[in-house]
Amino acid sequence: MLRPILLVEDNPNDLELSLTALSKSGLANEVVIARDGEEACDYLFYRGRYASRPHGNPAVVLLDIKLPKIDGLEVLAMLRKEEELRHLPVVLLTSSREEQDVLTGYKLGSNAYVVKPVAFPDFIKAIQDLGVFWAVVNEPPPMPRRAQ
Amino acid sequence: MSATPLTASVNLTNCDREPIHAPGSVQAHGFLLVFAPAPDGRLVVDEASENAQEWMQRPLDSILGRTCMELFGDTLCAELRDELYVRQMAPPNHFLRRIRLDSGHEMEIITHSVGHRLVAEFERAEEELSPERLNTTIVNVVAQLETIREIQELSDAITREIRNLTRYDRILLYSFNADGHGTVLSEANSGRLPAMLHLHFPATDVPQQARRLYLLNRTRMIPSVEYVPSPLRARTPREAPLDMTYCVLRSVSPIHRDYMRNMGTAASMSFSIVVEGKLWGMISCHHAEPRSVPYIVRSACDVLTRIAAAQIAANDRTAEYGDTIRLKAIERDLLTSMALEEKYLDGLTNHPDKVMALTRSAGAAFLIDDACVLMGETPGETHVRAIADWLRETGQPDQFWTDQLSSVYPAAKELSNTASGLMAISLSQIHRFQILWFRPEILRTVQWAGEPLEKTQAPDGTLSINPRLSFASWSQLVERRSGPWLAVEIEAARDFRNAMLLIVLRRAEEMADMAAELEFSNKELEAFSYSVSHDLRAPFRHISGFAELLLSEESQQLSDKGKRYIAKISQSAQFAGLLVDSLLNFSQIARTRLDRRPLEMATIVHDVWDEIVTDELDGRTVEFDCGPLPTVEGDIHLLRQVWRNLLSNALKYTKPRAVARVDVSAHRDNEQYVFRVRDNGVGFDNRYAHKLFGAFQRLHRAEEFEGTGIGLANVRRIVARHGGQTWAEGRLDDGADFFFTLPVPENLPS
Repeated sequence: MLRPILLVEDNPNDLELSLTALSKSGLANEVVIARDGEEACDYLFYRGRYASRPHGNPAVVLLDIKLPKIDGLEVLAMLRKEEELRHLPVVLLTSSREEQDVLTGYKLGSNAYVVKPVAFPDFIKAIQDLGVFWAVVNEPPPMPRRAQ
Repeated sequence: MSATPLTASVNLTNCDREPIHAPGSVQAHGFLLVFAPAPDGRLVVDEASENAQEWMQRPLDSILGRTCMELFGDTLCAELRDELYVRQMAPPNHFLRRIRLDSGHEMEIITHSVGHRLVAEFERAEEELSPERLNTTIVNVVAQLETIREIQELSDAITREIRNLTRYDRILLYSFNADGHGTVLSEANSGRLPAMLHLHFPATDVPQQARRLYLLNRTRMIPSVEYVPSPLRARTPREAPLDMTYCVLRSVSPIHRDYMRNMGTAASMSFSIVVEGKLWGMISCHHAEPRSVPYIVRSACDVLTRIAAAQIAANDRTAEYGDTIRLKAIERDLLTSMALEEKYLDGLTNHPDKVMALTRSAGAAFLIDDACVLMGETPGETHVRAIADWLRETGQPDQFWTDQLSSVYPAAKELSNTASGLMAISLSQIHRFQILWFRPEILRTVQWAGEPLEKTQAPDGTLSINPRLSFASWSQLVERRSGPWLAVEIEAARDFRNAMLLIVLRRAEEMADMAAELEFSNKELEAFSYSVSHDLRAPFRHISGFAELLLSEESQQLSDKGKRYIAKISQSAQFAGLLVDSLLNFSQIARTRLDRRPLEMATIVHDVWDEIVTDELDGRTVEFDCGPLPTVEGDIHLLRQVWRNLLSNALKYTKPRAVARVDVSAHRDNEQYVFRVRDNGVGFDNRYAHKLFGAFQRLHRAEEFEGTGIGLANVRRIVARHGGQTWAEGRLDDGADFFFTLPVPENLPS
């Protein structure tokens, strides 16, 4: 079974556009939506309403940087500390062209950094490429066994 | 020293070492007894000068060891005891009274104590001067002195009165300058001895230990130069010879007696002028024949001299206060104008007159880091820099002054007309921050009393000096000397240095504050553009995104007109997004730190050209030529942007041409390289050339050529940050030249 794509996005417009783009890409992966950093953590760390979800990491996390409560870079830092999530593919998806964010993102261990293009066709293309690369082409690292 | 030779050749060194305060002998015009208290309390003669036996008509061994009572009887003995026990804390020496000895000699007794012993000197009595006359003289002089303000007038009055009191042939009043040389300020002369007014005496005429002695005991008399010294004899051998600092009969150095003989004076007497604890000068009395005056007259002269000294000190102080106030006012003016100027140093360089007036100099120089500002009459800049370097390299103190620079810095010999005198202050050991003041040479002719440097060099190399044989006036031209730096001027420079230090420190603090504020506002700007890049781009993205979706998903519901409107909405949103990106880039150029490295310009140009051509050529025919380009120093990312902008502009505006030509070249112009991009495109009206480099300035309609109008603004900003300029020359419909310059790198060969 295909593993889901975790899309972390607070802006409803961006969310809708991203979902449209993903659906146009023809990927069959389920898309799990988190609307802020806390929800993303809940999902990844099996907490809150995701406390009893089946065990397993998403194929890729598309992570917006500017998020309410816990921002994208903080989420990234937290999950890179977790043995099980260390190798999870994370794509930072953001409006910001600020060099500072790019640098911090890579330092924290993001796998890619994508500036959302203003032109929609470019946007669709970027999302599709990302989804296909990380969800299909890229072989995910083997799941480490959870230490009991 | 008991066998004192009558003549001696003494060299300079041992002259300064000769223990003149303990010669071990007395002059011939009296005798000396030292009384010591015996265990039973009686005063016993402990030491006596040999000549006591002649004066007292009594063998020496019936003087030494005898009690005071045996020698002089009850009354005097009681008085001497009082001298020893009651008057212990009295002034240097004290006139006790007259006495007629059993031998018939009339003597005056002068006493002082040395340790627990009493020194009694018996001086041959002279005819007595009436106390009334003495009193009248002193009262007159004091009354006169009170009205006198000028030192010259004062010294004239004092020499005249002392001559009246003493009747010596020649009275000289001379003062010592900073080098210790004496100058005769006043003279009262009977005409029997040569005049010496205005003559100079070299410092060596009064050796150091004599100056110390004259400070302690301010009067000295030698009634006859040809006296036979009489040695002191002690009852039991003593460890050290008697300290005769406060004795009136103290025998003088044989050198001094030679000196007197050579000067032609048979008798002399002197009084020290002590001003604020320093030997300011002397009053010397000379007589052609042997002569002496009683103790009381000498005391009167000493009192007059002390009154004069007090007046001199008061005059000096008044003059000094006046000077201090004047110089303080100048300092205050300078500091005020420094405070008013934006660059505080301008406050100094704009007021050269005041800077020079502060130390009463003719020229001044500021040396701060690499800068050198000259004002007034100074040596040339090269010389000034060399002097400043010399001060630093030889580790001179923070304040340095000399009125004869060439004596310590030989190269100044050539600069005497501007830099005979130098005053320098330095504010920092680390950074160069020096202020130099210059004074020109003042040529003076000094009339010496004899050749001052009449020294002979012994075969072993030691310098020896013989008491001068000739006092015939000998004139010397004093060269390469400026007027002396007065204490107030030295103080003014010192105070100014301290005030400058405070200002510089305060400015440094202000600068640090400003830097902190600037950093803060930079941070704010960063936060602002961060927020713009996130929040402003998003709505444009949404507009463009949903417009596209509308067009692709719902197009069957839309009329052609509707489709066109939506396409326009989408394009506009995209363009707005592009503008936001351009603006961000523009502000980033100013914020990014330059990463300067040596760069091969030709490599960059070819790389950038290849990139552009792949993206934009679209089957056009373009001829590209790049001449040889130099190596420069700069930030590769930013300079790539410059070329990308210029070259894509050239490509863009040559679009209408069948064959487009783009030429890149460079040449050197002094310390900069000039780069040129020439195209044969549509050009522009040269009247608007100045508008080209402003942000969002366009000379073409938007539909003619695409672009946000920020490219050249970026070019200008980047080039300016590298220290260069940008300009353009256009010909309407006949191509354009774009130029920019970059400095030639310092370390690279041209």
